[in-house]
Amino acid sequence: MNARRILIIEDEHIVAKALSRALHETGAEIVGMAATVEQALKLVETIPEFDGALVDINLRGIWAYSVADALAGRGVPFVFATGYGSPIIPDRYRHVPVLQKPFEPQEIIAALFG
Amino acid sequence: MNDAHELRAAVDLVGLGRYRSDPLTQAIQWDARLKAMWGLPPDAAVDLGVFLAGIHPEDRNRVQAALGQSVDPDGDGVCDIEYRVIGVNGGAERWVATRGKTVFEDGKVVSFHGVVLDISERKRAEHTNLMLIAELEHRTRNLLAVVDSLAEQTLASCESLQDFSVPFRQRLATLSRVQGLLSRPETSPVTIGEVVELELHALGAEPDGSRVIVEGPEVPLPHRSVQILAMGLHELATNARKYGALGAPSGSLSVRWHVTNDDGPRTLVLHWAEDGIASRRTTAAHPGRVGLGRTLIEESIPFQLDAQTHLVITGDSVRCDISIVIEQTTEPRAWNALR
Repeated sequence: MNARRILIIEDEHIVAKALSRALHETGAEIVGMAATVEQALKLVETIPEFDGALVDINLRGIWAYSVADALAGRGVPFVFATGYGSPIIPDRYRHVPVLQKPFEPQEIIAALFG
Repeated sequence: MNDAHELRAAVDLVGLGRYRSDPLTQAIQWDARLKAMWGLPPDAAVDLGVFLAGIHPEDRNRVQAALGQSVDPDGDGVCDIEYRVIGVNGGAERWVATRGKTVFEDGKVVSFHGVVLDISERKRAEHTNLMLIAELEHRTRNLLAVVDSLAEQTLASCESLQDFSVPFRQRLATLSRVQGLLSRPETSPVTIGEVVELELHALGAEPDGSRVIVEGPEVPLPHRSVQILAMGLHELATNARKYGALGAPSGSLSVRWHVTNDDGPRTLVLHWAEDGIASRRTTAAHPGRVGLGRTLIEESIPFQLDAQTHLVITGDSVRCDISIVIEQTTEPRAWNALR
């Protein structure tokens, strides 16, 4: 089976980096890291193929739901990561798994691919 | 003393609006203050339709249910409810609290009267509190995620577990120090000078104008740049203590910064320079591995901020240049967006 290709959208570099490392150790491939909505949208648009994404819902103070919509548009599964309690997430994303920080990197794989 | 007079004065001082209704005639009487809350002139006629039209549509059912309950002869006859009023013109939204009392005679309603108070200010304060609590949870959980990752990354860059404790706890102490700065109100932003001096002071280095020079204008930092900058400066300072200018008798450190907007956006440019440390570096320099400190400076700062960094370590000197775009001083705060 091919390595799972994952995009990490998280604005704390050290967190993104630690997640990358841990996911890499589980055999996943990290196809990119983005810290802003703009960077994330660009990656979602340009990366040829990937299997899943982790989306921190707040990037530098901006809500990342446009990134979620772009991922949904491409049919790529994603999970939200957040420090906020889950009630703030809009209803239309209620089917999206939410990881409350801090979480185990393995939880991403479990939430994305079951 | 005139009791009616005093009562009247008290009602005016608190700002109560008053109402009374007669269930037999269906007549409703409101005072001028209550009419004003509904956007009505003092001489306007009021009926049930006017009353309901001025209530926020999402709250109408709740209000009607509460009123219905208060005329139930088996109940206590009290109506006690807070709801939103949009006024008959649908203009300004305000929160009101009302307490009304139904008077029964032989199980029949004979009158209903009560008072209304505008509680918009209190509701706004409550809302702000909720937002602050949500933001606090956000910050705390994010900080825990940072600590978690910091532990992972520190461990990964250690030769053995014995090497872990000191750098990890120092990094934790940096995070802790910076929280004190970050909890200040937005009206007194953290400046670059404060962060530089805080991190130098933590390692026992005080600017003395010769061996340790700290020089630059007061420059407020964007809120979200403070933590990562402090962490970067901590790495520089702790390395200077271990291998560089802060540990060598002949060493000197200067930290200088200025603001430029020559090439476009307003940018803070900081130069960290250590000299005279030849003897230290040759004996103590790390053998070739990329430490977490370097990663924080070379990767984390540019990733998290609109920034560029350049770190050069030679035999007898250290140079680190950090440029950060600081144009956007009124950055969005997450909890503002929650409103």
